[in-house]
Amino acid sequence: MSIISVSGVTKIYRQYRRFPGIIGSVRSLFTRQYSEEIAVKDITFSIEKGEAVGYLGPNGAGKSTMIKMMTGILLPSAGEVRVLNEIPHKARKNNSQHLGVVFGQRSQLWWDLPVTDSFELHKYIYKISDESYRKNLGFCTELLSLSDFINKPVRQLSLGQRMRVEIAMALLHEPEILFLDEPTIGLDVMAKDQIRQFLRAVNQEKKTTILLTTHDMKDIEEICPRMIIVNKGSLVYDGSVAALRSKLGDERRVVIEFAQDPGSIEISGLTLIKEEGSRKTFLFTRNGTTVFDYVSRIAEKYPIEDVSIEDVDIESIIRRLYKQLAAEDEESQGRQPILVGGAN
Amino acid sequence: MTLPLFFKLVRLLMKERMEYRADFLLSIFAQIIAYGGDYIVIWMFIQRFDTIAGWNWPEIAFLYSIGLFTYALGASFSFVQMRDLEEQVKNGTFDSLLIKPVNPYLFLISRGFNLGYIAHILISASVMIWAIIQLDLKWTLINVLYLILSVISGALINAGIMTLIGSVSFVWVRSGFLFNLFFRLKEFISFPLPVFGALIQILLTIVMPLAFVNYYPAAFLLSKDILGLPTWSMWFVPVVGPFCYWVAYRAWMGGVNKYQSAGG
Repeated sequence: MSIISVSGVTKIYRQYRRFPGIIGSVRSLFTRQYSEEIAVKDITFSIEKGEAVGYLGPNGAGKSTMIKMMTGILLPSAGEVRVLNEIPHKARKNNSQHLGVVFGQRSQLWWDLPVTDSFELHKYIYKISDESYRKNLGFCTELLSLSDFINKPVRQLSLGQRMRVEIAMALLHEPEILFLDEPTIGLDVMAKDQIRQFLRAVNQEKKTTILLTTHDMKDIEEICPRMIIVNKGSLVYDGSVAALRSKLGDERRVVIEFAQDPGSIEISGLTLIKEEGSRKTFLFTRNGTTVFDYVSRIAEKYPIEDVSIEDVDIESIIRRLYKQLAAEDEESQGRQPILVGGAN
Repeated sequence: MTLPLFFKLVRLLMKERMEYRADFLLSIFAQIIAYGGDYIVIWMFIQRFDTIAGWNWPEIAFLYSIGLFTYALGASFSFVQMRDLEEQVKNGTFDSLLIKPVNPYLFLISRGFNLGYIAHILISASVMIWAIIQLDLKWTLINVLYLILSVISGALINAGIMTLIGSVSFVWVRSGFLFNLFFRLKEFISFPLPVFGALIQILLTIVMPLAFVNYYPAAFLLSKDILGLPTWSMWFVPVVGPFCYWVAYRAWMGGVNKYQSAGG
């Protein structure tokens, strides 16, 4: 039984037209003029207990909207969402007891009070027993090194510290599913790293199901074996990171350090993408021959000091996916007038 | 949402206020001065005419104090919470209420419980006590009970109207101008209702029932003749508040439902 199942879900926002000025605001009350915006378009997926899934897509792709539907904040316009086997909106109060939610840019902490005050209130609201509170707080405090600032007022914390606190709080009631909306946005490398390690530990040790939205591909690579990619409201990819890599061409980057600058080299099958004197970077696309064949062929002609072969990072793969989608989009739009013309 | 949770929140709110002690005390002091000024303006007004619509100064002071006292009680549970709601809906912070295992309305009003109204309570209670002594009212059990019920009802009318205005945030996002309207109309109840024309009287009795906050209960307690209404009609007063509040609460929860299906 899937812990989350989303089938054919669509969410349409209705934006009523507003008029400027005082008279305008009165007029706005009675107007029925509105525009519709499709935030989520016919999305289907399911997530099993214990999975860690990255939900990604460009701004306005409907990521937050999907989280809001899964947490029961919003109702889908069509389709069905089930979380913990319940309709999230109907079982909102009950489900929330088993869900942890972190909104990256919206704090739920008491700004002027020490962190512990927010934690204790959370303990009270979620009716957490003393024992499991102590245990969970201990787990978070240790792995997120909260002890340095747990007694400080929230306003004195850095963004990274605050995010750690926010995540810890969402886990105090031992939720079965943890939703995170942009948990690493705006953080420095160190803070990002600590949060990623922590989330991985939560997923693996506590078996907490994790779903996070992000812009940062590193989040996905380090926490989530599976990713769901959305674009303009539609689901465009659901699968493992490795599968996407092979689906979008198995490209590799070959960096060769020559003993001396060989000048320009032309080898079919390899594309020169960067040149720094005797150090050249090529892009290799799998095509029957292995990358080693190429390298040894080059080595026959020019003395080579060092070679390194890197996978293309996931970020550029996703960028290519978006580019590909945009091109398809343009193509279908460009084709339309011709079709219309043909019909006449 | 339970009473212990409310007290827990109040404890945290007090702790929070004490972080800015001087600021808090200063603002309370400023409020007392400001409302003291209001009393003085009304007093000076009465000095010129002796009575207004047959009400003398202690009677008007009593009337005004019930209005201010019940407003403070109601507003501490509603004004800032409901005024800021449109902002919360707009920038999405309202969502964090819906992910908690609590009643969103009760949590919102308790989380925003405003301790600043202690200023209004202090000044209005002091003047009310002074006025009661001056007026030499007969303190029968019925009268005491009636005053207490009327105060509760008045607080509920105030909180109800502001809750209703707040619920507009879910539908139209903007609600600020309705608060302006509310405060304008509230100014009328500083004076006895018969001072105004029929239109205002009907407006304050039926459309926005602010006359039930202080005029009707004060008139019954002071045995004033209200358009020849029978005495038993005084018992409408304690009923109007709970009714208003109940309607507003349903509307507010309906607004949340609408927000959930339409989205921000």
